[in-house]
Amino acid sequence: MKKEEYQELMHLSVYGELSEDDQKKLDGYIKRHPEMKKELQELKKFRAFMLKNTSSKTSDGLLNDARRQLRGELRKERSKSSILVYIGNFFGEFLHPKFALSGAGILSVGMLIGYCSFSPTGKEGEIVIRPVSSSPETGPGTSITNVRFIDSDASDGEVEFEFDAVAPMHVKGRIDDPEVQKLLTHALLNESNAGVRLSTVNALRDHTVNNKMTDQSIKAVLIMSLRFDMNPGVRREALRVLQQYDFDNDIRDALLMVISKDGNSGIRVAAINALEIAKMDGIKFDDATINALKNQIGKEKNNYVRNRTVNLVKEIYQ
Amino acid sequence: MTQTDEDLIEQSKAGNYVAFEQLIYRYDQNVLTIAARFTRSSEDAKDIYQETFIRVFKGLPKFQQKSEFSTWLFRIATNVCLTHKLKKKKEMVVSWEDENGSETAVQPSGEGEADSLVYGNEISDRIESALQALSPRQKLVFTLRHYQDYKLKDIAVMMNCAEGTVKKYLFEATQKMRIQLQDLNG
Repeated sequence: MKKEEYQELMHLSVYGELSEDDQKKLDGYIKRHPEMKKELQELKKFRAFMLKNTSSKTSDGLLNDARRQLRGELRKERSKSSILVYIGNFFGEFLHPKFALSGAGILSVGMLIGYCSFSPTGKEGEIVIRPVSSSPETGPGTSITNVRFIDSDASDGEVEFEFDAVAPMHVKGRIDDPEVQKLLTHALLNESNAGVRLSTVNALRDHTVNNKMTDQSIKAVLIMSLRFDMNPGVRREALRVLQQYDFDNDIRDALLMVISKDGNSGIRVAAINALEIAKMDGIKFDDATINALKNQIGKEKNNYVRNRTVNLVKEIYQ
Repeated sequence: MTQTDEDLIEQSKAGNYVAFEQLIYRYDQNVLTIAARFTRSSEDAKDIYQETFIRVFKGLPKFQQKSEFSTWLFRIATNVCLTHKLKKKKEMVVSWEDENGSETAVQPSGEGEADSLVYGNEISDRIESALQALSPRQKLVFTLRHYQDYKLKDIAVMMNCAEGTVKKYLFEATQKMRIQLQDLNG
């Protein structure tokens, strides 16, 4: 083996990447060539120097920013998908996704869903989903995109192609119906229009006025909205609805993140208020929570928010 | 009980977007860190991050779990890094978390040094400059091995090349970095 090859082995040794055999070969070489021991030590020193002087992860601020932007882009991607593909995913028992992408299948099965599976004359209390147009394949609002030819040769009189058809659907059902809630949480996560997202949260909030919220999947979506929705109004409403849930560690962590990361001071104050209410309701906060709040006092640039945080910490200690 | 990647993948394939986000949030900070280290620009890093996860989102229905999800994900991420065209660096601030959890801003160093970013201190600045002097593949291997602590055989899978090639890149990268930083390293 050449000297250069042993040098390469030394590099790998420093990174813990040598096999047992190669390590033995290297050890033997170093014994025979004491001057190489110094080289190995310098390599180890360099590795230690690099580890000491470099950070291994980006800040939470950059990460949250990237996540928000990604959510926006994913929303756009999802909105490109056919509503029928979406319905197929949600109501898989009625519609196989394979059929959902077939052009003729899309429209005929869509009609079938609209008129048969979710008939408007369903029993009281059942969810009703129907196309807005009486003939969704040609009706206003239906858009056909992404046409893909399978056979464009018309010499035999036939062509074959697929496309995505998006038809407006009308939904009527009880707010406490799990399927309605699924649709609403889907809208909250994926709808690009902030007004629609806000209306969605409001609908969920209205439902919670008389009923304590317990659905954990909705809670998870609300927490995501609180943490990552780009619109402060939506985040604020998501926080309000979350307060209808029993206070737990998930909600606490989301509130602490808002207090430390949300760019909107009003929402930071709302999160502090939510913690204060939880305290008044008898929730005990652990040391990690108190330390997080104390840490935030030093970082908070807004005097009012900082004072509110200070008061909250004092109240917790009382 | 914590759900496995496989559980979340199945739920994501069934259209559960909450599961999809839970899945990617397990790995996204690493992706962003690699991208930021690779580009030294927060905007480019976010572009790479976004492009990676859009590809994951589109490709997930066809992902057959023959490899680990993380391997597949980082293979996409490294590919996006290597093919990404850097934007004109209008805003080049990358903030990193230091050992105490506080942030350190990486900012443009000023007129005439458009490609140079500095950390809060000179040493970090020199290290970053030395890193940027490497070839894209050397830089990626060094970043994945040194900062992210991936094994060379995993890096080889991610970069779709032989392990011997990855070893060569790491060797070359370390040698170059040592030369550039020898005055600091004593």
